[in-house]
Amino acid sequence: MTAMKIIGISCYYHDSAAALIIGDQVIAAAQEERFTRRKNEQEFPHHAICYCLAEAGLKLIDIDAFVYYENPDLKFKRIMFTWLLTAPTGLFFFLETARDWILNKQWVKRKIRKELKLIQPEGNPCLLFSNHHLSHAASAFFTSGFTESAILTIDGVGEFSTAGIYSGNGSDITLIKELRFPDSIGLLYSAVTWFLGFKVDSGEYKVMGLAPYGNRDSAGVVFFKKTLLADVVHVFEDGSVKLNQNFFSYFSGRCIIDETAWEKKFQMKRRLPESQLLQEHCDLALAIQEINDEIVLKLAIEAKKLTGSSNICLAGGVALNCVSNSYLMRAAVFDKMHIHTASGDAGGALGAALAAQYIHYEMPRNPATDYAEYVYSGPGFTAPQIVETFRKHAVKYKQTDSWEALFEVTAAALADGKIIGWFQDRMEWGARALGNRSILADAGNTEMQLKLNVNIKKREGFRPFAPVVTEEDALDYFDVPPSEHMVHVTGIRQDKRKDIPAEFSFRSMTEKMRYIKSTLPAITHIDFTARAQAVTASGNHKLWRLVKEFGKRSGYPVLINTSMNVRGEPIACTPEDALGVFAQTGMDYLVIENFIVNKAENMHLTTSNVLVKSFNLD
Amino acid sequence: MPTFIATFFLLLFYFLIVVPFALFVQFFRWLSFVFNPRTSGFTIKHYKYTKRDFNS
Repeated sequence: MTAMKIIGISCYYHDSAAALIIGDQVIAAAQEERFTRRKNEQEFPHHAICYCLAEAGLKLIDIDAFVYYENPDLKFKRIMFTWLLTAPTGLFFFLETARDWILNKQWVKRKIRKELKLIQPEGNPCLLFSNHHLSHAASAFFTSGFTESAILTIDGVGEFSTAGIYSGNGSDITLIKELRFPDSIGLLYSAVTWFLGFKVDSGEYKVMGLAPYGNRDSAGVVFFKKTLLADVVHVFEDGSVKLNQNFFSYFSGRCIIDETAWEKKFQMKRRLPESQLLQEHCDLALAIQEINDEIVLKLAIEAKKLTGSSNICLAGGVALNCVSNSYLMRAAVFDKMHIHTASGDAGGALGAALAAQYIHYEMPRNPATDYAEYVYSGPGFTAPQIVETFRKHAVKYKQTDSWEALFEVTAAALADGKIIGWFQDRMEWGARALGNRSILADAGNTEMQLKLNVNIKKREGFRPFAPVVTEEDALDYFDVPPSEHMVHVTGIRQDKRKDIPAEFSFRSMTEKMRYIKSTLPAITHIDFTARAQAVTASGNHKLWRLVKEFGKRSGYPVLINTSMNVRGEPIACTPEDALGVFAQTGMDYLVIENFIVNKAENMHLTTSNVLVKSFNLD
Repeated sequence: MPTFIATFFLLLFYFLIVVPFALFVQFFRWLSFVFNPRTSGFTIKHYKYTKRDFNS
């Protein structure tokens, strides 16, 4: 049987992406934002498709099918349904969406064909449409290695569905129950995100990071939680929700919430973007995080009841909430859990391709297929390409004779408190930098969190940094085994924690942030958790060797691993992007493959108009 | 001018077709809610995806 060549596409909402599979193998997958350098890019993924084709050495006419990750007809039906539910007060929503759908979105099929013609005019590619939540479910289940599993998808909204419980068996996926628009767990979280002054569809992870600054069981948190559960959302025993539409306006307006109703109910003003964060903001963040944790757990228990499976796969934007994921993991409802690294809409591109392969084309599935490689399926660069970039920008660099020499030099610099840009092999697929497009630093350095947030990432000071630890040493520092792909959080081991003073909860946010909480202060969040990555020798050998080498020098094989970008910028894709981050931040060295660039020898880069760019804050 | 004409026809469509139909739908949703209060937000499906679900 000939292996099918299928490209999955997601676009026209947010997080455009393309993924190419050939038979059982994920050949290439990348988000469009990494090429266009516009965060959460929503336009057609021209660059990502061209990259997928180039990676496989194929032309567009060689592809058996292009699969769009959702069904525009169903989506249009949902819009029409919304018109019916909001009339007559939803007149402005009707005028706005009717025009948009009649002129643009209803013609997605035609639009995609037109865009594909721009890539290559010849041929008439086969175009298929999946379903939004089926794409999510497929992205998680078909990459899990499980023969059978419960599948839980939760996000803002797909076509009609906002969450679904599925059962996966071999090549089949069966939808058992779904939660339908306008009741949505993702939109509830996004509503609080907006009320706290962060951007919807991109700032949710900041709310998750802010939540631990809330004072657990304090009057503030109890009030917010009680109010949310009594008036804003009703959570049923099976984890489904009913949102009180008096507090929301996404149903019929331009804004996600009715600001006046929220301000009156929560007795506080909406926080303006970039304004000061107060304790009440942290308490509200903690309240919604705790509610989200409980909802996800209830949904998982319901999925267990319905499927009887001991495995679970998670996907959808809410599966990016690694705190809820670890809450579920600690509850031990399931024996095994798999979470797709790109569980948001970008991952829908890969999911759509896999769903078409196994469900539409009914190709046999071998669950034992190792999909581990899909995590690093973005572009990689050769030595001549890297040198060419250096030449273009007159970069002075050194090349080490061997990889071992590179690990030693880099580990020595890290142990000396230096901040290193680490650019290796193929780019990661998904929201996390897993050691191929990373900024690395010493996790034991007390000043490093502040230094990185202010001088390197140029972002909010409260945001924590994730560590990377060698898998075999992980349990010396963390209380549960960390994820290889940073999909859940772990606790710092009790013996590594420092005592917290009794009056700690009354301290200011800055004081809490600067307090040394463990022997690994730079990666210990205020609640003693960390979104750790357990790197393995087989998963990412170069990073594993570097962390090992650093461990020999420092006594602890734990480094900060944060994405190579500044605030508002997509993660670096090319060596030139990496030079751009290097030029505009306080990084000391940039390591691209076995080339080392020293900032002190390349100060001219910091004033380069080509490399230093500004990005809209996220 | 074309924008004005398009908006006019959209308004006509909205008030003559969408609004009456919407009131009808909303009334029946309210009736179903009154006589059958929900104990879950879920819609039960039990639907196995097949190749038919990939319309081209």
